[in-house]
Amino acid sequence: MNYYPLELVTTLRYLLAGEEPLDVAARVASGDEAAFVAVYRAHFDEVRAFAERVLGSRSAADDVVHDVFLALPRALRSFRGEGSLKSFILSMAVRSARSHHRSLIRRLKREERAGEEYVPWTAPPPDAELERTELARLLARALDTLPLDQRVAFVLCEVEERTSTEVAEILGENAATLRARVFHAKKKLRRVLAELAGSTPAHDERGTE
Amino acid sequence: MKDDLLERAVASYRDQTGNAGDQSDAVLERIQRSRRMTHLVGRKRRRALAVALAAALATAGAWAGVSKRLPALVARVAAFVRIDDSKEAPVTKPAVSRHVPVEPAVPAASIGVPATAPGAPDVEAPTKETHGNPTVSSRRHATEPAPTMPVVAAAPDVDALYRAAHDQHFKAHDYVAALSAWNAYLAAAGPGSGMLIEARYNRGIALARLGRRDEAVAALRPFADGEYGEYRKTEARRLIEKLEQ
Repeated sequence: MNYYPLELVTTLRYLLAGEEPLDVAARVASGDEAAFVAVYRAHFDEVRAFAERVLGSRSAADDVVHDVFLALPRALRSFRGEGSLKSFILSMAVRSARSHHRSLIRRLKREERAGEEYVPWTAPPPDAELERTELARLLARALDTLPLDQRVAFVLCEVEERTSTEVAEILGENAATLRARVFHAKKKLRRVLAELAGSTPAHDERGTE
Repeated sequence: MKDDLLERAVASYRDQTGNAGDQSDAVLERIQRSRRMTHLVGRKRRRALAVALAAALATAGAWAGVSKRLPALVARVAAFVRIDDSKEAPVTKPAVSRHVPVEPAVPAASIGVPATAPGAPDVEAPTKETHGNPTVSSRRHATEPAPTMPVVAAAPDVDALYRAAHDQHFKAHDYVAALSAWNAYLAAAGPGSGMLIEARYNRGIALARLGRRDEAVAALRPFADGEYGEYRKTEARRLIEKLEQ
């Protein structure tokens, strides 16, 4: 891996000194490797977290990160500073997630989630940690039932707790459309969660084979 | 109550996801590798193309020379560019015979399953064999036998093998047949096959369903140990716990 001695300095400068997004974007677009790595370090966590929450797959999330930052220098040639650099990068992540979602759905249908059908739950999870893990798993399955647009809006607004202004900027949509999407998403998720919660652990009659 | 469940689920989901761990450096390295490849391809594309073309022409010429088709080839090219004013009849393309050898069967022991395991007969790779009738229709080469094409081994259709195993496992629920089919796929699939890891996991599930506990644990252990990253890691651990109870 290439190591640039100025990487740390540039990262700190970018993060702490409030460098203008247009300046950073211009340097990345022109091929400044240190600036690119600094932007990568600054935004990796957010992009990856968003991708994992939307796609429900860590390997797919890594693929999204790879695709977004690989395309970033070229994409930044068209960045005019209308919004934040973070929103620009996250909007690229949304587009990348859409294309990965299509191939992920095909793959998941092929697998038919082989392992989950076999797990013979015969008792409720023993402690709070397992309950949280189970709840997260249920929500992941419930999110799979949402259309992608609703899923993206729900993840950005509810899971990541971003402001509606920020989410509107990322998605390029107005607040009313966003609110409607989140409303419908929550309505469906409540129903699906109730069904899933009612069919697992002690209530699953087909648990043991 | 309903809101509480959704809120709790969201909070749990937020905590459980988004922890990239130490993936940042690995992904950055992958990105930089991709960028180097892109630059390399862009700069050397024409040169590589020219070299490949020259190699293909040289190979074709060498083959034509060895197979004594070179004069025919030259004549066709000359006729095309109207250099050759010979009165000979145009050369017609002779048929060639093709022989595809039988694909040898791969023993199940090569992928860790005992060959004598009950209910798991060895699955032989599909075979393919074709024969053509050698004919010579060219006047110029009337006394020469038609050359034979190089022997080409028939590659198994790994996608078909995967589909067959998948159908036995998830549709027919015939785990004896499924296990044989997963073994057959794994024997035929190369390292780059897209569904290799899934097939290994499903094979472990089939073994568990057949009550072959020790073999199932052995098959699922790599997943539980994280050898395939997070893929099926939690499920494998839970299954092994249940199997070892």
